[in-house]
Amino acid sequence: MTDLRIDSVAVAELSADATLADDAIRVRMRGTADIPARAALDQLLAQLHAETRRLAVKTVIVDLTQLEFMNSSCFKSFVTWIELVQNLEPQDQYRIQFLSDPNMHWQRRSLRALSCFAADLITVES
Amino acid sequence: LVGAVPEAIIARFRSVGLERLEQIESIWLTITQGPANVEAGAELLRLLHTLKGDARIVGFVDVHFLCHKLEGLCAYAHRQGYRVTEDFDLIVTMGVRFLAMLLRKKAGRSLGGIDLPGFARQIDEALLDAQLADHLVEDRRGSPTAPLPPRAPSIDRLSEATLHRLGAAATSVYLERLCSEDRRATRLAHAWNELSSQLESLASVPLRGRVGRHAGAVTQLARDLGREVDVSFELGDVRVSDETAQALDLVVLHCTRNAVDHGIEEPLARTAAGKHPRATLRVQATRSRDRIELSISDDGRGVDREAIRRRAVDRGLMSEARAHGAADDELLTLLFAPDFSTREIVGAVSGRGVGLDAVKTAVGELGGDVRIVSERGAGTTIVVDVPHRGSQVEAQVFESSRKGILLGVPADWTVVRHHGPEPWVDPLELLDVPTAHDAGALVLSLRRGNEVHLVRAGGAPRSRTVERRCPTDESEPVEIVSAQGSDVLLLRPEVLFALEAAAGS
Repeated sequence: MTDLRIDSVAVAELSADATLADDAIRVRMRGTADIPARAALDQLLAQLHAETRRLAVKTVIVDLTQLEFMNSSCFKSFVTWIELVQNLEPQDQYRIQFLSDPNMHWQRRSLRALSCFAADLITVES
Repeated sequence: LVGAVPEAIIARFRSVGLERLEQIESIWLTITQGPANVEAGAELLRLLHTLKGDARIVGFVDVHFLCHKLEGLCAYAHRQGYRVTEDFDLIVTMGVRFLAMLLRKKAGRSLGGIDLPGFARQIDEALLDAQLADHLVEDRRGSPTAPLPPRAPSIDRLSEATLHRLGAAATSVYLERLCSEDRRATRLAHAWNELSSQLESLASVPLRGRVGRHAGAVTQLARDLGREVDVSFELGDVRVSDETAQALDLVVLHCTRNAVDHGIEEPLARTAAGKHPRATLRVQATRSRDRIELSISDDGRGVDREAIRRRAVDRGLMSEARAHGAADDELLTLLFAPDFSTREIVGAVSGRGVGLDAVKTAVGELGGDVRIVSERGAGTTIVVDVPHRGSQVEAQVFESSRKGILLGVPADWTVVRHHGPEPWVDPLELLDVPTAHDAGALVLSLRRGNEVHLVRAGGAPRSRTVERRCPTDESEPVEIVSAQGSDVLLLRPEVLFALEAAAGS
């Protein structure tokens, strides 16, 4: 199996890990993403972007079903990441699939708004 | 999209627009998380409105449209004193980022993936939700003018009192571990480590993580403005409270952008002045025991004192005679005055006025000070000095009667060996921690003023600088600190013995 070089995150109230399977990288986030977790999240997304490109993976699945809350500061990290993907040449771009929990109100509007940044690349699934 | 507008104007619009957005983002962060600030809110609305107007002129209809939508959100927030929900905060923050994305979009790139109408719908819904919630609150209170209650603080902005209470709870876990053995002791050790590390991260944040993010933006701004600048951020491992980090973030944002935009000359002008065409901009932070010093230095054109004199006289702040004779410090201090910093004066004083009143206010709220050192033609340094609630304190540390457990007292206690027959007390017993029966051949006298206590110890005292990992209130008898990697039970003898006396009476 290909070696995935993405560090797990366990900082403040956030934990996250990434796995590679079926030609997709799956990132699972748990807990709460608040200001103390911002730097770790930035690093995670930077590594994720680099690894997706290195391995020529075409889909990244971000599982937020166990993420209790994400504040606006951490959402900025996601926006930055999405812009990185957008700025790739079309043949190098990859798709981003968010898995959400519809029972968490905060996820509904925020993920819908986030998907508007790159509607052709992002899907949100419950 | 942009018609026949010259490319240079478009480029300028993009860079100035991004600068405005960064200011908007910074102000939004400050006023939604801090005390109400009407002036800052008005400035935010002005910046947004200006960006909207500029966008219309250069034909960026998408930016114009989104600015208009955001204006609606921000005007609502302004009326509410910026006490808004997390959802509302999120949509505004993302809206600002959406605008930045539109401004950065490379010419010729497809806009197909950007769903602007979809995003606008989210804004409309957020505004509608907020207004509906507002009506519900009004109905419940019967007062249409009553403001919304303040937003609950997020977990990273706990008050000092709460941190101290959590520290006391963590200390109880630590003491319980000392009373336990085997697996139970291991479990409690893990719990203590987790609690103390969480408390440590709540009490302070790395400055690098907060203000370091401006390095890239400033470098990009310099490039956009045709400056050649080596930007360096030397922040080391300085950690500060969340409150201090927010203020210093504002300082760095204002000062670095001013330096690049107005203080640093274009390469040709630098060469003509006999300087290297490549300028330097350095942000440094150092921490002493009780102070944090942050400096932002450039080797640009420096502050023009004559321009300050003219401005001071024009504004009626000084007579011509006084302005003529004013000392350097007095002139530079004027740059921090409200309203002295207007765009009109920027060119004349290297732009040092812009935002400096906001910088002074932010630093002043922390009990700090800010000053400017500037030499005409050689550069400018802005130095911010703020108090730091020290995480390090001096202590007298000694072995307890039980091997492996260190005790300490604050350095204002005098600790000497005692040889008399007077009765002593083992501090571990006062903390309900089991003691060793065969140790403690030593008795130490703890003295502060008229208060004296004789305690059993396992070794002589040594002066140590200890790190407060898990602070407790001064009314607590003990706090766990760290000395050269070892845990120390830092006693507060005045509390410990008073509690003991009260329990015995």
